[in-house]
Amino acid sequence: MPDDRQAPSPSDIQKAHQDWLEQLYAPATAQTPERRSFEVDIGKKIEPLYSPASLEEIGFDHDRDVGFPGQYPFTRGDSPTMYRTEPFVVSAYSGYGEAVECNKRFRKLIGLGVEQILVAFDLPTQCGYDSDDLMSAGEVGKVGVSIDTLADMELLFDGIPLNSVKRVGTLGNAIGPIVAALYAALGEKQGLDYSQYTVNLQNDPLKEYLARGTQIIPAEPAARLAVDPVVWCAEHAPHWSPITVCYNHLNAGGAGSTWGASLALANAIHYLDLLVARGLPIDKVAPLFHMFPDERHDFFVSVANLRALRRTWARLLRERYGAQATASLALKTTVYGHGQETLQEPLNNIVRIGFGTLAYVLGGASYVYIASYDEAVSTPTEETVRVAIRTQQILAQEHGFTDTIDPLGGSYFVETLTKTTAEDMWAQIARIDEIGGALRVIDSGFGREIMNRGAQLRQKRLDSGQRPWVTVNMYPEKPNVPNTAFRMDPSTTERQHARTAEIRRTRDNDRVQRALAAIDKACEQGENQMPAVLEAVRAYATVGEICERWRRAYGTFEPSVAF
Amino acid sequence: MDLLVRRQLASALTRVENRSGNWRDILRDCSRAGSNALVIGVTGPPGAGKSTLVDALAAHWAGMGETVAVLAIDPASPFSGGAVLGDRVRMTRSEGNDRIFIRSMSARGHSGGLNAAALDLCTVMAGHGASRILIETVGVGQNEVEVAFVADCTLVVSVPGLGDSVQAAKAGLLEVGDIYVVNKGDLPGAASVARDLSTMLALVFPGLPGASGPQADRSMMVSIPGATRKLLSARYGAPEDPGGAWHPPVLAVSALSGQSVGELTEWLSTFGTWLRQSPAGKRRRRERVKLQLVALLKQRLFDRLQQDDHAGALTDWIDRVLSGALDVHSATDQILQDKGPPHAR
Amino acid sequence: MAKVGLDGHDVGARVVARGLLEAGMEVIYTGIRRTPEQIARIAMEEDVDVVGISILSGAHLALVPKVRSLLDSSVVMVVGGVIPQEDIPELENVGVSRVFLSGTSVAEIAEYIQSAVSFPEESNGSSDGR
Ligand SMILES: Nc1nc2c(ncn2[C@@H]2O[C@H](COP(=O)(O)OP(=O)(O)OP(=O)(O)O)[C@@H](O)[C@H]2O)c(=O)[nH]1
Ligand SMILES: [Mg+2]
Repeated sequence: MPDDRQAPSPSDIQKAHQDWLEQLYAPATAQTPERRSFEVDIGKKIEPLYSPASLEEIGFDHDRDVGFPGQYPFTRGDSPTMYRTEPFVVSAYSGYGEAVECNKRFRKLIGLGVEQILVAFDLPTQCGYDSDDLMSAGEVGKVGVSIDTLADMELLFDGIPLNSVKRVGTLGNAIGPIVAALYAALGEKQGLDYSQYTVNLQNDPLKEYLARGTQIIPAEPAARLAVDPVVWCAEHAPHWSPITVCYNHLNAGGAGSTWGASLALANAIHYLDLLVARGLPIDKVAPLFHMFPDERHDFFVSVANLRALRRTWARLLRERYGAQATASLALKTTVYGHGQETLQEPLNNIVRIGFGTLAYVLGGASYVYIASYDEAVSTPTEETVRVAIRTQQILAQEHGFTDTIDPLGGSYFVETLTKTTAEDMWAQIARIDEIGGALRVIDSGFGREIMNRGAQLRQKRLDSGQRPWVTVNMYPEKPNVPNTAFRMDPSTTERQHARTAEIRRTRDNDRVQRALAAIDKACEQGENQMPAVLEAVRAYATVGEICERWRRAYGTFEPSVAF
Repeated sequence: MDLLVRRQLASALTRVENRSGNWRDILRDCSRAGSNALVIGVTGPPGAGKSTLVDALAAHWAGMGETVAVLAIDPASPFSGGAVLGDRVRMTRSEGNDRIFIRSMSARGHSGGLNAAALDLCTVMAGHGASRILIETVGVGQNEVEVAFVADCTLVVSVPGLGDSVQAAKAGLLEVGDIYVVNKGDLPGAASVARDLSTMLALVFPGLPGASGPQADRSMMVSIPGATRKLLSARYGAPEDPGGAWHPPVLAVSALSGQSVGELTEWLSTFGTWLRQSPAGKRRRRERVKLQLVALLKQRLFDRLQQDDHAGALTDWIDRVLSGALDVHSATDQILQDKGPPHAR
Repeated sequence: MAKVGLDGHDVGARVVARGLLEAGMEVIYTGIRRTPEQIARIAMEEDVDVVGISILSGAHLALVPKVRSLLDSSVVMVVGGVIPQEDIPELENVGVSRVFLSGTSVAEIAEYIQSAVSFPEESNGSSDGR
C-alpha cells in the first residue's frame, strides 16, 4: 500500500493476519454471512480476530503500557500481591425502612461473611430532607434506610462496632460532610478512635447533575462541600476513603464506559484542583481518592476499562499533578456488579450479574458489591441478598478465578482494548479541558448531550434487536414485577416521624442552634464545613436542618433539561 | 390570576394555537378588550440563559404586582415535527406564582407561520389580564429571529465565550435588539463581550445608549448604505423625532443570581417610554399588523391553491408548463387572474 | 412527561420523551423532583392531553394517585417504571389508563398514546398533536 507518510512495511505476522482475513475469513463469510455486526456497547467495532499483529498495529509496548502489578502504570493491578494475599473485599450495599429493622439485616449480612457494609440511604436522606418534610412524602425508607439524625445511625449499628468489619460507608453524594460527620460521631459514641475503623464514602456530587439526580445545591459550591471531608480526613483519618469518583450512573445514563470514565476523571480533576488550591500536597490527598468504574454490557470491555482506568489515573496523577507516592498513583476501585438485568424471569439475572462481576474481578477491582437478582424490581429481599453475597464468595474462592494476578493480561483482544481505551480516555480528558472542565461539562450541556446520544443509541439497538437481550428482544417474555417483591411495613414512616420528633424535643436545642449558626458562618466565610457539621451532628441536628442552611447559603439545585 | 381565569386561558390558548373550536370568537373578544400589555421578546443562542432570564424578569414583575405571561418557544424536529419543550424547567422562581402563567409552544406546525401564531397567543394572554408578556425564542433560523418583530421590545441575549458577539452579528441579531443583555455576568469574560457589543453598536447608532435627541454625538458612526440606514431609522427613530432616536444599551447581568436584573427592568421602562413617544413606536405597530396580514393572506391563498390541487385543478397548469407552452411565471399570473384576489370567492 | 418525588433517575423519561418527539408529539418535560401540585399546575397551564409519570423509587402508590386527583378528568394519565403486578389494578382504579413496565419499547408507548387521545375537529389548519 503506497503511502507518503511512509508507513512501516507490514511485518510477517501482519501479513499473515491479513492473509488469514482475506483468504479464509472473507470467503467463508461471503458464503455464510456474519450473524450480525459486532460492536461494543457505545463504541467501536469488534474485529473477528486479534493477534500479535493487532498489538503491533497499535504500537503496544509491554513496559510502557502494562508493566507489573503494583508498579507504574498499574495496568495489571494496584498492588504487587493482588488477590494472592487477599481477594477483593466482599461487600453489601443494603438498607431499607427504619434503622432498627435494617440493623437486623446488617447482622445477618455480617454472619454471611460480608466484610464491608455500605448503607443505602433513602431518597429523602440523600437529597437532604427530613423524613417529615413535605418533599419526603411516600419516599421514607423506600430505596434505603431513613436517617434523620445520629440517633438513627446509633440504632443502625447497634451491636455492630464499626471496627468489626473491614470498612463501613455509604454514598451520600450531596451530603458528603454530613455522612462523614455521622460516621465520625458514631465512632465516638462507640468509643472508637478514628484510626480503629475505616469509612468509605462516595461523596461525588458532580455526577449527580448529569445522572442520578440527588443534587441539593448548585454544582460549584457542592464540589467545595465534597472536598471538605477530604481535607478533614487528611488530618484526622488519613486511612479513610472519603471520596469515590463514580461513573456507574454516567454509564447507565448513556455515556458508555469510556466517556463515563473520562467524565468521572474530569470530576476527579476538579476535586483535586480544589484540594491543591487549598494548599494540600498532592501526595497527601490523592491516596484518599478511589474510583468507581462501570461497564455492564461487554465482558472484555469491562476488564479492559478497569485496567485502562488504573493506567490513566496513574498517568494523570504523575504528569498533571507531579504525584510521586505509590499510594497516589495506584488507584483503588470499588465496583458494583451488574449485568443487563431484566424484569422478565429475574432468576436469569443471577447469571448476568455473576458474569458482570467476574469481569470486574478479572480486571482487578479492590472492593466489590453486587446487585441482587431482584434489584431491578425492588429493594432486595433477604434471600436475594444472600445469593449476591454467595456469588461474590464463589468468585473470590472457586474456579481459580483469583489464583493468578491479572489472568487476562497479554490477551491480544484485552490488551488492544485496554490500550485504545486508555488513549480514548486521555483524548477525552483533553477535550473536556478545552471546554473548561467539569463544571462546564455540566452547565454547557456537553455532558448531557453525550449521555443523551448514548441512551438513544442503546434504545435503538435494543428496539431493533441489534443488541440481543434474551427474554426481551430474543425469546421474548412478558415483563413482570412479581408481588413477592419486598414490601415495606407501612407504619415505618409514622414511627420514623415519631422518633425524630422525640429527638427534636429532647435534644439540647440551644446547642443545635449554635451549631447551625456555625454552619451559616462557615458558608459565609468559605471555611471547611466539617468542624461545624460534626458539632451539629453530635448535637443531633437533623440532616434536613443542616441541608436547609446550605440551601439558604448557596441556593437550590439546577435541574438539567437538555435533550 | 385566579384559578378559573388560568384554566380558561390555558384552554383558549390551545384552541387558538390549533385553530380549533371557537378560536375566532376567542380572538375577537380578546382583541376587543384592547391591551396595554408590554410584549418583550427574548432571543439569543441556545443555552444563553434566556429561560433563566425570563424567569428572573417574570418573578421581578410579579413581585411588583404585575400579571405576567410567558410564551416559551422551542424548536421542533424538522423530521417528525415533534418537540421536547423544556424551557419552563428553568423557570423555578416563577412557576407556581399566582401572578405568572407559563406556556410552551413548538416552533412548527402553525399555519400562517410562527409569528402570526405567537401574536395571536399574546393577544389571548393580554385578553386574560397579562400586563407583561415575555416571549422566549432561540435565536437561530430566520423564523425565530423574526419573532423580534412581534414584540414591543426585543432583548438579545449573548454570553461570554464562544465568540458570541460575532455569532449574534451573523444571525442578524444586531439589527433587531432594543436592549442587549450579556448574561452570565458572574462568569469571566462578560465585561469584554459587553464592551465589544457596545463598540459595535456605537458605530451604528448616534449618541449614548438610551434615547438621544438632535444634539447627539455622531462622530463614532460609520457610514452605512442608505437603504439599511433607512430601515434602522424606521425601527429606532431619528434624533430629530419626538423622543429622539433609540441607541440600544448593552447590559451585563446574571440571570442566575439576579444581579443587575433590576437595572434591566429600568432600561425596559425607559425603552417603553421612548416607544410611546416616538413615531417609530407607531411604525412598529403598523409593521406588525402588516406582517400579520401578509402572513395570513399568504396562508389563505396557499391553502386555497392546495385544495384546488387536491382536486386536480393545477394539473392542467403543470402540464402546460411541462409542455413548454407557458413558463411558470406566466402560469402564476394567469392563475391569479383566474382566481382574483383571495376574498373574491 | 413528569418525574414525581425525589427519584432522580431520568434516563428512561428522557429516552421516552425523545421517542415521542420522533413520533411527532410535543412533549413538555418537567425535569426531576416535582411535587404532585407542580405537575398538575404544569399540566393545566400547558393544557396537555396526556400526563406521563416516570417513577422508579417505589413510591408510586403514595404519589401517583395524588397526581391523578389533581388533574382534570379529561387528561389521560400513563405511568412508567417498576410497578409490581398487584399494584397495577390499584393504579388503574384511581384513573391511570395504562402502566408501562421498564423496558417497554418506545414505539409501544407512542402507539398507545396515539390511540388514547382523541383530537377535536378543527375548523382550519392542522393539529400539531398538542
Ligand atoms: N453562571 C451562570 N449560568 C447561567 C446564568 N443564566 C443561566 N445560566 C445557566 O445556563 C444554562 C442554560 O440556561 P437556560 O436558561 O436554559 O438557557 P436558554 O438560553 O433558555 O437555553 P435554550 O432554551 O436551551 O436555548 C443553565 O445551566 C443555566 O443555569 C447566569 O447568569 N450565570
Ligand atoms: Mg430556554
